[in-house]
Amino acid sequence: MSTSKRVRRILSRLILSILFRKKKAVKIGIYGPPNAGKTTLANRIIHTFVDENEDVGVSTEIPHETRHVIRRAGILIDLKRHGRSNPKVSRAKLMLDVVDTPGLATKIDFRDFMAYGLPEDEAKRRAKEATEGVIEAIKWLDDIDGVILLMDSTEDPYTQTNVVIIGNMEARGIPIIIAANKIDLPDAAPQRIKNAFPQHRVVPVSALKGENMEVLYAEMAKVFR
Amino acid sequence: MHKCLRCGKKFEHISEEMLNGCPECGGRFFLYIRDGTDLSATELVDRLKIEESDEAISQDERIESLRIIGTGIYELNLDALMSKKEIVMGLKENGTYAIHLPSLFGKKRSQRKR
Repeated sequence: MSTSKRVRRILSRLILSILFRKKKAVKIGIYGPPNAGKTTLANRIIHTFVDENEDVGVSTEIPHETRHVIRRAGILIDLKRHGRSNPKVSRAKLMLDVVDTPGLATKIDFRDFMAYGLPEDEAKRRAKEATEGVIEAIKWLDDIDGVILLMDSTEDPYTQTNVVIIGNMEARGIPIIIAANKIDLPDAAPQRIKNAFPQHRVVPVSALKGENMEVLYAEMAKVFR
Repeated sequence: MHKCLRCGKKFEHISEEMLNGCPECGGRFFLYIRDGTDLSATELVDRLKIEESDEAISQDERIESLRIIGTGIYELNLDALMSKKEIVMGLKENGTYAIHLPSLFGKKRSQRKR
């Protein structure tokens, strides 16, 4: 093949790739303290937009159930197709990679797990893995385009963990949506979260029951595009 | 008898209010004084300086991103983990530290890539 033909072929490939390049998926990290419902939210997103029988992880009442970062790539959030379109959102489609992360905590003590009936050895192993999980989750922040910070509406939101995550996201310039989870519980107070972090958009949801999720999806399509 | 190290007020007995600080000034440091002995004002001021400077140093010197208190008990400094690339581990509370070298070398490699 002559040099001119080769150059022409390379150029045409280059032009085609520029014209028809696939848009990169947006990597969204679900962060928050342990037991806020991060895995339940990740599962809910996948059940709604991908497959009702697919789970990224298991949710239990024992804290630090997720101890490794789990990434589910290629989730197409198509609000129109799923009858969740919102007239206020001009863009109803968004390609996402959802990253479910271990809960961020400032102290991990194996004795807390023993209170849930775990034997000492297993509790100590869980504490070690949970600590490694927190570090892994934080390392992932370098590779994340947007964060859903999940908080438990029944708990006091003004914790060191929440304040540090929000401060760090602001410093890195990562877009953030606060999801006030567990609004299906009688003592949920999402307004408390709104009052604590007035500079951010707070969306009250129940990931378990699927309440108000369309508002969160619309907000995701708006903020993370 | 107890004496508040901030305002100097003396208390014959420990009251429940004192558990939250001095009822007069809110000070949190009390000195136990045996019967018949007392401290001069200058001694009190000297002690106050020591207490305050101790606190300032301990805050500033918290360099570790992770403290291993015992098997299965960990304390994480999320701010340091998020803002610094390197991981410094504190062992128990005796001032022994371990530096996780791969986290440091990883930083250099990624800087070179840029």
